[in-house]
Amino acid sequence: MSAVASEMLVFEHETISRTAGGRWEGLFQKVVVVISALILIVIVCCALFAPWLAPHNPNTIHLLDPYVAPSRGFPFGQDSAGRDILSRLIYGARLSLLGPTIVVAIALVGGVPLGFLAAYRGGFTDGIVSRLFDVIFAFPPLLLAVVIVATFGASFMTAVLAVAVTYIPLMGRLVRSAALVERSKPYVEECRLQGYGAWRVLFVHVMPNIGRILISQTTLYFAYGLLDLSALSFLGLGAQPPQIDWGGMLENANQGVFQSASGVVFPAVAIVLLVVSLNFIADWALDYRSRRTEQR
Amino acid sequence: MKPIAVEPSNTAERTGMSLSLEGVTTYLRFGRELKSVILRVDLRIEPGEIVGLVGESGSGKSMTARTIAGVLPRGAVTEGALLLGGEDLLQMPHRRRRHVQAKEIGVIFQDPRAYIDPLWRVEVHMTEAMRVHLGLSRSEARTRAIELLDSVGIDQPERRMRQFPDELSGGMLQRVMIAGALAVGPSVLLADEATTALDVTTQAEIVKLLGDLSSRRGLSVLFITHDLALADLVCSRVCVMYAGRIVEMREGRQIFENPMHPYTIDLLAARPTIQHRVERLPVIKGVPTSAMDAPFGCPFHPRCRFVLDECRKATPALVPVRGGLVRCFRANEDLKALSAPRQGTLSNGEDDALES
Amino acid sequence: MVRYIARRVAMQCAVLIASTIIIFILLRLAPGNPATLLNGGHPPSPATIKYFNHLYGFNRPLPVQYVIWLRHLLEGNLGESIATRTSVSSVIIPRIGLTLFLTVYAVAIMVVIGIPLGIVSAVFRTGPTDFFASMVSLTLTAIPTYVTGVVLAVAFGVVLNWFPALGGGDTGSFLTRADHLTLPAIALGLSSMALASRITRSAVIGELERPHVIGARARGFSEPRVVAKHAVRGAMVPVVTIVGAQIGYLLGGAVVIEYAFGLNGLGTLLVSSVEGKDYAVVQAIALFITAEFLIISLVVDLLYGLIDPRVRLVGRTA
Repeated sequence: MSAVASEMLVFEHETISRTAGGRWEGLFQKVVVVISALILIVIVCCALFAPWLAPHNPNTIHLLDPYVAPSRGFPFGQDSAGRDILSRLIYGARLSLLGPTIVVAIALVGGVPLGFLAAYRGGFTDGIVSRLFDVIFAFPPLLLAVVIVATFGASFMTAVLAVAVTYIPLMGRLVRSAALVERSKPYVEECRLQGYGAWRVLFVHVMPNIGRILISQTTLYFAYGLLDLSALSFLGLGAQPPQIDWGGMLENANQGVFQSASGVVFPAVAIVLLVVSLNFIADWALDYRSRRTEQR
Repeated sequence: MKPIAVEPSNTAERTGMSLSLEGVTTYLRFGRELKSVILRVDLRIEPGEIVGLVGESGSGKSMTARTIAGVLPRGAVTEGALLLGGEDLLQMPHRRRRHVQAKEIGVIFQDPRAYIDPLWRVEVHMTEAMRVHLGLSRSEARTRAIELLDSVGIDQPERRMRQFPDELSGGMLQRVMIAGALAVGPSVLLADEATTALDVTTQAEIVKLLGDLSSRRGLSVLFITHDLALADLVCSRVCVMYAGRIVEMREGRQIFENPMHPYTIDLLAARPTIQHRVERLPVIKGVPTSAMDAPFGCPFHPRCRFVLDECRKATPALVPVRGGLVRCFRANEDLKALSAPRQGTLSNGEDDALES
Repeated sequence: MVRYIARRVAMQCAVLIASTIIIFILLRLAPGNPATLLNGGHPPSPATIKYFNHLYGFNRPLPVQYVIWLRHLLEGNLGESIATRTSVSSVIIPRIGLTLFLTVYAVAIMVVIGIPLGIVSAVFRTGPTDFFASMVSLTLTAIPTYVTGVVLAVAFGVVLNWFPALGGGDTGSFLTRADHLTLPAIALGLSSMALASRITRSAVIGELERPHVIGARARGFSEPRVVAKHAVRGAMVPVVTIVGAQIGYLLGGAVVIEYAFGLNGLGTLLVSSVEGKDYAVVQAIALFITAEFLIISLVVDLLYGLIDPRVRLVGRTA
């Protein structure tokens, strides 16, 4: 990624990556956000309560019935090995949610401190951290993940770690930019004049202001992380059988798509719904605090 | 900056046109609603005149300029008559209006760095209008542009042409904007807070420049500012605007010596001067309103020291009084005399008019 | 301007070298003996070990190994592919064409369709169609590319038979190639196109409200001129930024799409090499694509200089 671009991808989230295309009417946005939250809750419940919700054992094979369309006993149909797609979908929610969660957690733990460090120490430290980020940005993200997976062997965890590595600098750069903007604001000067220590300034004052952006962007990264991880699974480089995740289901279904589309449709819809919902929630989060301050 | 040069223009000296607003009201669109920002404004500027339009934020002065220039936001509506050299701009077909506005009305904005496109060289800024509206060739436009830059006091005009706006100082950029506004040879010049972003010395230079241009080229100039003193310096006539309406109009120094409208009086009183000492700076209570937020009746009445009952019930009309126009029910009284002498605090028993 | 270019080129070279180091180190990080890995996972015989040491210097310190490796690289020696027992270059080079074609095609879709679409939607931004369009746009960016791929392949390839559903049109003319790669390119580029158009739209809308655009209107220029000359150019800066980043995702996504469509490009080779632990190939492909990306990033950087002269002067926009 170009160096100048790195400098300038500062507030893409604020003005530009507002994914749903601008602020919209209050009520309508509320409705959409509520629906999105519901979708999210449903999926989380699937993950948590899978054993109780799934009608069949997701790994039970019925080799005689590959790629069957939805039927009475199998509401979403059967996959290449005759396994119940619905059950696999429900169980698949676990890894499909767990993966991005870990990615985002690592990105936060790695990126936030680095970003703050770069923003507040400035100068040399900033130079080093930024160069470090730039080097990682030099690689197309998915490619880097593939190479890392190649090095350490394909599995759920390596895929997650690989993707996390590509997200650390993203988060770090975001935090750095946001912190830099805050740093130049008068209230930080004020704090320093009053003699507050650097850490206090950071956590008590700067963080809440950055918080909004951070929450919103983290939500988006969760969504992108899901897309990346499922891409890796699709390539066979992620969770390995008997582990189930939605990307893997798509890979499996690819071959038999002409016999039964359900293997593709359902996991795809699940992914899309989750990603779109997360986008709406992220947009709403961006507006949330700022609307509150306006009302004051 | 070197002194203003004599204009060597090779276009014939234009006879200026007068600009006249008659009962102009402008509404801005908010969703489905239309809200007024200026209300029944009457204004006339003759060639060679510089008329000042003074007001605080929200008074509608900028909106007046925008209405004249025809650059209102989407969905805005203008009523009344906007006469340029006798022709009503508001009645013209859109295309013709745009053409006339482009050729006859030049606008200078407050922050030249914001209003001049930073991505193109000065040459482009200067020549674009000439080539589009006057049909000049590139070299013709260049020559004329250099002359113009020279006439507004920019040195090394050829070099400046090749530079980007970022490379010029604020004062120089403002001159470029003025030169650009003059490029197509307009009859009317709107200067919207043209000097506000500049330091005081540069301000004085620019103001002098405007005065020279106006008299030499017969331009009708509308000088918009929030600074009453500045308006006094350069304008032959001053209008004071409040909440989208003109509340007072006087010739020259009259507005200083004999302000008639309570708002004008308070504005003048609120200015710190070296001449007198005061205990506290007399600030006008409350905040200025815009036309859409103004209360029923006289828009100034909530903040007025001389308020009467009838001020709450009806809006006064603009009436001629002692050499000027005033919009106040108490126009015939000498309100200035009613206010206390300059020293000490302003009071006629109403201390709550002061704010600490 | 020249200085700006020189600076950018120098920086990119530095980054390029750093990335080769990373790729180099990654291989060495793999669990297990590099010699074993290069041998396809089987413990190598002493003769083989000696051969590898001679070739790659496994018994020398790491920096030396790197230099040796780099030298090989510059000579064009990318190593040997375990799968085919031939040189890596001979395995890779035939496939480069397809991958490049696919990628360029997808980028073209993103830029040539996406950006003008964004501009148009910015100018005509009132109306119910606007909301609907942004919904569609959002959904498009949420769909994984391989899903789009499958849907397109089935719908347009098989059912409607407008385009061939399989194969990369390797033998054949440019047009055959284009024909075969249209569906994959659309699948790859669609979500990026949607993103690009949305960003363009926001950026242009943002510009249209800026003072210098109002100034241009005040000077009486027609709306098309105002938009095209004064608004769009300024809007291009963030657009180019995002598009540049997206190309990175496209390069990665190409791998997935090739796999989904069964094309004979670098992508499928990469995946099979990863599974087959054919590290030399993996390394080579990674290097190639990364270098590609860095060159593109450099071009993007230079584009900024063209669009916004302030960058040339200061190194960043105001």
